[in-house]
Amino acid sequence: MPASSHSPEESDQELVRKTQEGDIDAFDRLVERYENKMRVTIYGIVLNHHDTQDALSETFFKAFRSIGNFRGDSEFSTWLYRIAKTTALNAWRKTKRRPQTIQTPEGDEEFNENNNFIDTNISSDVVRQMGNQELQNKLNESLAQLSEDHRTVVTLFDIQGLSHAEIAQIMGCSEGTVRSRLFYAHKQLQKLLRNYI
Amino acid sequence: MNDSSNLSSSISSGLSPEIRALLQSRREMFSQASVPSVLPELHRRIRTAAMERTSLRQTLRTRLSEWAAVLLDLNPAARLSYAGAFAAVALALFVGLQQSWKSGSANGADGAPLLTLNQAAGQAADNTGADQKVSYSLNNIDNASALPVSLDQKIDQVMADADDLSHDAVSAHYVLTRAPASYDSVVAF
Repeated sequence: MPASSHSPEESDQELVRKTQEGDIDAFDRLVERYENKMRVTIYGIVLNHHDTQDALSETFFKAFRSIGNFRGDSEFSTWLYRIAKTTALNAWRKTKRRPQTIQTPEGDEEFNENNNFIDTNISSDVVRQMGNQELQNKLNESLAQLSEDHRTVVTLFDIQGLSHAEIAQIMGCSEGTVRSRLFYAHKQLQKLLRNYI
Repeated sequence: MNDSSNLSSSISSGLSPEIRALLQSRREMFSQASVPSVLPELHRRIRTAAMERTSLRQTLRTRLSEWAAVLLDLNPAARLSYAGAFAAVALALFVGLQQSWKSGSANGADGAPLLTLNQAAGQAADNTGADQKVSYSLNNIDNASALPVSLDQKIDQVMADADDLSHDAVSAHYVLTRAPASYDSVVAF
């Protein structure tokens, strides 16, 4: 992922360097640049909005504290994705220990009510909206049944659109392993969602 | 990014286009939603962390200055006694450390004087007899200072020890050459 593609003005490296020199505004610009990507990634792993917001804040806080040690051996985005993945998995494990189900949590219902995100072009079609919402819930249920590695690889590949090489770097494994995990994850998702799509 | 490659991969792995579209709708879901930014929360956390670090430094500084103020407010005699006690403790610590360093550098871990490599080699050679065979008698701690003895000498020594034992009423039975007449009945009993 070329860093220059994110901003025509300042590259990630430039903003990282400025942050390392104590410019907190530069870090704010990095947060604004990656906030949505990290939110989608974290949501794909923790599968609820409340934990997503917490893990997102934790991710950027960890990044801010450790940015002094970032030497630029990898892309800043890869480094950030790695922090987000680890933080999200920790949040997921904590959620699993809590005695509650992940289906339609309160935060998600509130989020869905406040945002007609499913399909803005057909907002008048209430029936279809409800159908899409149900599909999203079923997708969450299915993703929750995947292993952590499979869910992460699906999130990074199918939702974020990262390449196998980038995912391999983020997950610390080979490209072959990424392909293999993706294959089994897709197979399982297809099986789990067969009756709904 | 990589949409075409993702599509071909999804098809080859058996993921239907509908599920793929459903997965991709997740990205749009957040881009269209009015989700609050993480920046205010992040700034709050950064500020709190900075304040915690500052307050820790501040607390330490306050405690130290309070302690110094108390010390300075004391009457001269008390101040002198505090200074004397502090000096005594520092001196004891210094002397202790110096002693420990001296004994540590002169002796081994077991307190025995350290040997040079040549001295150690010389001692090792002492345990070797004229026939270039090592005598293991020194390995027995009881006989550490004894020279190798012949079998006859050992038998004589044992007999002499037995004679010594025979004077001891408690252990006399160990050296009786013959059982007493009532031995069988005693055993039977």
